[in-house]
Amino acid sequence: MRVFLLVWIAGATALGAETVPPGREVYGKYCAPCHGANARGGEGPSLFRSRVVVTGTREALGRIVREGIPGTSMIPFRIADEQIQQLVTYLHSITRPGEGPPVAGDAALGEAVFRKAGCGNCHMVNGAGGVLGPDLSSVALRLFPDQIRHAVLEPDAAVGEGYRGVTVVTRSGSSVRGVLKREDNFSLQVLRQDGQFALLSRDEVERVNLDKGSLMPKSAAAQLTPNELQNLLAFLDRQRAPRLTFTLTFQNY
Amino acid sequence: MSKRLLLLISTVCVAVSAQQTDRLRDARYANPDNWLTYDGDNTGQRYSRLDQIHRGNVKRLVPAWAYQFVKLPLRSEATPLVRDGVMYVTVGGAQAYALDARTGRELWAFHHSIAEPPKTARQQPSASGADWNRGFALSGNRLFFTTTDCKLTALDSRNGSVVWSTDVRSPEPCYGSTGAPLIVNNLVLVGQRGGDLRIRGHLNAYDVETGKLVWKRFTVPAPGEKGSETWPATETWKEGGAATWTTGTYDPEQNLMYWPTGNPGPDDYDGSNRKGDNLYADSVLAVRPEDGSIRWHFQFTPHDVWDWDANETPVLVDAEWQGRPRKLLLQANRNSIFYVLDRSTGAFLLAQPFATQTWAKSFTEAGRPVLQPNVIPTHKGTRVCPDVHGGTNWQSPSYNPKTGLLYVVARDSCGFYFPTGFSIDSESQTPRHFLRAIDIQSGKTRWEIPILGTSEILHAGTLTTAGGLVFFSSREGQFMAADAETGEMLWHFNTGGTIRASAMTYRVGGIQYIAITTKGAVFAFALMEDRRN
Repeated sequence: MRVFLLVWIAGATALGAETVPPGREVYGKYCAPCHGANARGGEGPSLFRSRVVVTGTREALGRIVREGIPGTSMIPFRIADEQIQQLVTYLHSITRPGEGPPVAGDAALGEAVFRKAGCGNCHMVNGAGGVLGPDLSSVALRLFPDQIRHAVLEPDAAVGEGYRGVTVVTRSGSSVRGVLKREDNFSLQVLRQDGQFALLSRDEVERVNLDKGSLMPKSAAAQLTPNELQNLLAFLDRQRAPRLTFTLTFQNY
Repeated sequence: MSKRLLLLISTVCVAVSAQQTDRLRDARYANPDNWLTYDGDNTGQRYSRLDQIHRGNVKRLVPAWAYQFVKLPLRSEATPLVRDGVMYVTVGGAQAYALDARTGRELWAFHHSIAEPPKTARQQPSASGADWNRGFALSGNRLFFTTTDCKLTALDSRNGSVVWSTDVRSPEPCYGSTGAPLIVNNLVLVGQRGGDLRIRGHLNAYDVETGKLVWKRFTVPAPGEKGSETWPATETWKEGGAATWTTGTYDPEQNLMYWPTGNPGPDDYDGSNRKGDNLYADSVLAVRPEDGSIRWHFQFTPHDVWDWDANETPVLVDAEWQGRPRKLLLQANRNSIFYVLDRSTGAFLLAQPFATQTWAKSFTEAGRPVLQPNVIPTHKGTRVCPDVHGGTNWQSPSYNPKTGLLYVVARDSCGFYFPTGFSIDSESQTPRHFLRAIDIQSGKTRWEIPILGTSEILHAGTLTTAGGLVFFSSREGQFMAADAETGEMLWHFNTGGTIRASAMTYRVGGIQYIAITTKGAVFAFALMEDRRN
């Protein structure tokens, strides 16, 4: 999901100037050199992890832009107040899902669709469900409604880090199927489909076949009627459990 | 030719090469037990003559001790120094420690309280400086380091007391310094950061004893000065960039320092208001220590609109070059090109890509790049390789005179460039990192090791030793050693924290240690049988 958002923003950037909001220009000029073109961090931290950006007031964010954070690389920016307001609006628009009007549809019926379509086999909601896919309890605070729709309809478009399907064939000839949580030069950590971790050393691995697409079946959404889909999206839009942490995946290196 | 003859010739070559390196090395760095500068000595080679830990026994390397920092800094980029069994290390921008290098026990601690830097008088961002630095320089009983409030401070190495502290900003606003200072003769050399912040780059030389400014060399010429013809007849040069934010190198025989510079400004990706080559941005300068004058310069990326700072270490090597001994300067540049220059004259000898690049078609006899079409940033976005983070960056390369290879943490990437900024093209090619061993004679990569599981940017450098080893790291904290000759992976240890520093090595009581700074600790490693309690 996180990768999806990144791609979406990068895509919007590549499309050109005609649809760029004014705050995006301001961001590109002053903020992107450190926080990255997509605000997910570069030399400076990701703004999607910044409390003041994600939960603070407009005034607090504006003050930081204007005055900087002493003792850090966040310098004060002496730019026009109008530009600061445009910048704040832009940052809120990309980092704060869940603040718009609720998505139309019957969320209770949507929950039934969620169960019927088997979403819960892989996705946990409020402590119940599977573990292979991302937990959806706060999905509406992480993704905008059109992003959720896209993720449901086009699961292959992007697969988040830690959720890619993988088949690992070991030297002894057995094969491990699951999602690849982490890897480096020496080891792999796979969450198997049965919910157990397979912790593998490269020495014992013959080959690693990463899935091209997502483990999530595209057919699941395709079999829904337009009404069912709308209700499912309404159900997902109600998933706004308070986020306990901003570190949604692994340690931010 | 028989194998034996080949072996003999290669042994002779290595011996000649080692002798040449000995001559190039400043006498004060003669004892290989000590690691006395950011790069170990004055050459930038990051090569240690210690060979107790070698390719045959490195598998028995284990942690000897760790020292955990009380306060987690934003970044730990420092290389520790060691002299006579004492380790000196800076942590983040404001902490520093002396440790028993055999045990990691603290000898003294220094905590600097950072005052809020004053606002700039000019209508432009005032950089408060970065809250990290890359370590100490050492001369006599004095340790020199820079802090975020634009101070160059000298500590007494015996108790951590402040001997003097000089404000390095005057008359400019506070830009901050992050590079470890360099000692040359009786001078301490300090560069500054802020190349993207509308500054005019400069290099300052201070008296080791008194902290008084001896000279200041601007890296962007004023109107009328040599090089000013590469700027428009406007005020742009005042914000021309060319920051000096890493550590230079020094050739004592020629009494010349080599200091690299960063990208031009004021707008990194929009060159329309700074037409011309923009000297001395993205260059290496051969500077006379006595007065800061420039003997020669070489510009790697004229009129840079991609933010490809040339601040990578200028590595000094004396070696055979096309049949005769030559004084060389090597640089693996952020623009993905490996360069060889004659460091006496600045003459261009070789340019060869070592990482993905789509911007340079060829090079003229003088080493000027001939651009590919359609590489200038546009509002639609121009796709160029490498991306803004480059084919490499400040992470230290290392050169092993026994192999003739330069070890570089390289990065294959592409990006979109706009006049207002950049993005990484992670759709068509996720940036990938490698340890690459470059044959300095041809510029070709002899072997490479992919560094897996790393994030988009990797700023952990290398160390190479006479034990036939090269040490390197992943961002996530895997500290690794490979065979310097063949690239075979021999050893690794998961430190469990971000590494964005380069390793060093030292010997105390006859025992060789390898040390690396991670985000939260310094680790020292020794062979299992040599580990002390």
